[in-house]
Amino acid sequence: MNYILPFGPGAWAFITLYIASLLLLGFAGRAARKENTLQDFYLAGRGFGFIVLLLTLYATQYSGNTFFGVAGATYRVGFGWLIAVHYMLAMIVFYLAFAPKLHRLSKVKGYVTPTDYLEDRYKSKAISFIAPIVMIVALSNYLLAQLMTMGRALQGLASPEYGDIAYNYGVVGLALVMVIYGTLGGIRAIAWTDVIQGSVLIIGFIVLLALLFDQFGPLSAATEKISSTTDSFKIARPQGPMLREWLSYILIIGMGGALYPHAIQRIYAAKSQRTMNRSLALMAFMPFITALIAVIAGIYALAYIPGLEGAATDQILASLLRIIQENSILGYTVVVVIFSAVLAALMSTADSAMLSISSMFTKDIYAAHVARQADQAELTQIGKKCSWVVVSLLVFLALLLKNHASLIALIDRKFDILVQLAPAIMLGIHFPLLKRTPVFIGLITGLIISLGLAFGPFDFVEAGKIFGFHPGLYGLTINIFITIIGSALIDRAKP
Amino acid sequence: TNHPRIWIGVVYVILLMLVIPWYWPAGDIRHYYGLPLWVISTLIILLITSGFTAWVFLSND
Repeated sequence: MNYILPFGPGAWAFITLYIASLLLLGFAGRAARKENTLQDFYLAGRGFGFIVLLLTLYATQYSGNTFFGVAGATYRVGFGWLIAVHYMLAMIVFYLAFAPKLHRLSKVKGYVTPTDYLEDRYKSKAISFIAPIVMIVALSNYLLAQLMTMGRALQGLASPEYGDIAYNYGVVGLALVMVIYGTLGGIRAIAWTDVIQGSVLIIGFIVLLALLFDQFGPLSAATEKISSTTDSFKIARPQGPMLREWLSYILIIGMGGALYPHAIQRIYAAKSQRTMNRSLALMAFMPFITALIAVIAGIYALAYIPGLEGAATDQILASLLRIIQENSILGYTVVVVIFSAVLAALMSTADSAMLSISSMFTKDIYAAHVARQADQAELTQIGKKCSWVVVSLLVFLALLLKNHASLIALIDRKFDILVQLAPAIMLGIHFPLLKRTPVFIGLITGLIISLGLAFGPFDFVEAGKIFGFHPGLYGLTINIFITIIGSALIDRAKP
Repeated sequence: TNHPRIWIGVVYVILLMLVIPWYWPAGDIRHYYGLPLWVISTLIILLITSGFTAWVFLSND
């Protein structure tokens, strides 16, 4: 491997130790198992304390996209991508709408998956069938993107002639590590590894900021440099159309991110409501030490590595690290730390998505429709096998789509479909008036409108948006209208 | 018991209007220590939003 990546024995020892610690936590999670049940495997017996819950929420919410996507987007549009701070905070704000009450209900009713709540609330076979499919499709897309970014992370560091080999090593190697500790110790192992990964991630971002100042000088110099080029418009306040996109991103990622199934399962797994409230209160400040630093990294790259276009802009963080490594005495050491932070961001998000998909397939599809008499031990085994199958399929896809990044952009409609669950979950938890039939019709209509607008041959859809707003928000508007008006009409028709 | 929820919702709508810098002059590239002034004002409102959100969680029946 030495000839593929620019790491010496010390760096490989550090990375090997890091990965070994993750596998050890997988065994520790298995040893800590209290019973062979879905509740224990997927929710750790609902015993997450403040630190574990905070760091598992943090490590899961901040993915590879925070490192690569945000820095790359900032490079392309400038300070206008400050919206990344907005939407990461919006997720926490939208938790306020349902998390406290959902946590209390889950304690009383013993929910394991988000569909358990929907089944309990609406008692509708149709909703309980379509909801897990929506969530599994959205999460599979998310997991595939993380696997491909794992490959790209290694590809970006490798010398060009070994890029493809490095990509394959990245995808297969890290997926294998993740699926081993995830299936050994379940959510307990994943949350414990998140404590390590979340800590590495926080340190990585802070070290990155310090390195940027050390290598390139103050931010004011970078901004001045951009101001004197044709990119000076990237310093100014975004124009009207971009501001409409801001509002769209705040709403769609805020709602969609809060409805991520793996995030909802962490709400279930909190030891108490006080623990959950304290963790989410602190999470409200995390965008300032993560997303904001990624935006600043993008600005530094725009000033000092100008002229990149297209897919190359998503590699600007790797380009910055390469410059730092070549010019700084401490560069090599800290680049290894930041590389570990990138691995942490990717694996901590991917493992949670993997486990959540496996829980929904096992409980909401297999146990509900295939083997209704299966006992808990059998279902837990099925869940583990499901993790292996899902990850194997997605690894195959990630290798197949290696040179087709645009395909990923094409299927990246996960938030458009996830937000269609907002009326059923966020409104349904507060308003007993909402009835199952209009909720189901609203959900289906919202999905059809969102996907129809996103993939249909319409001239008025520009860059995947209409008048600056995501298709999912148009679907959601109709969805909410049908849900509320339909429920009110049914209520009024009652004798 | 519904009063606090309505009050919180109204505050969030006001914060949502303020957190998008439509009121800042377009084309203004003045900056302070490298951060454009419109970015600084937006970050201050975001921090207020974070503080308010944390307070609501910590005071939350």
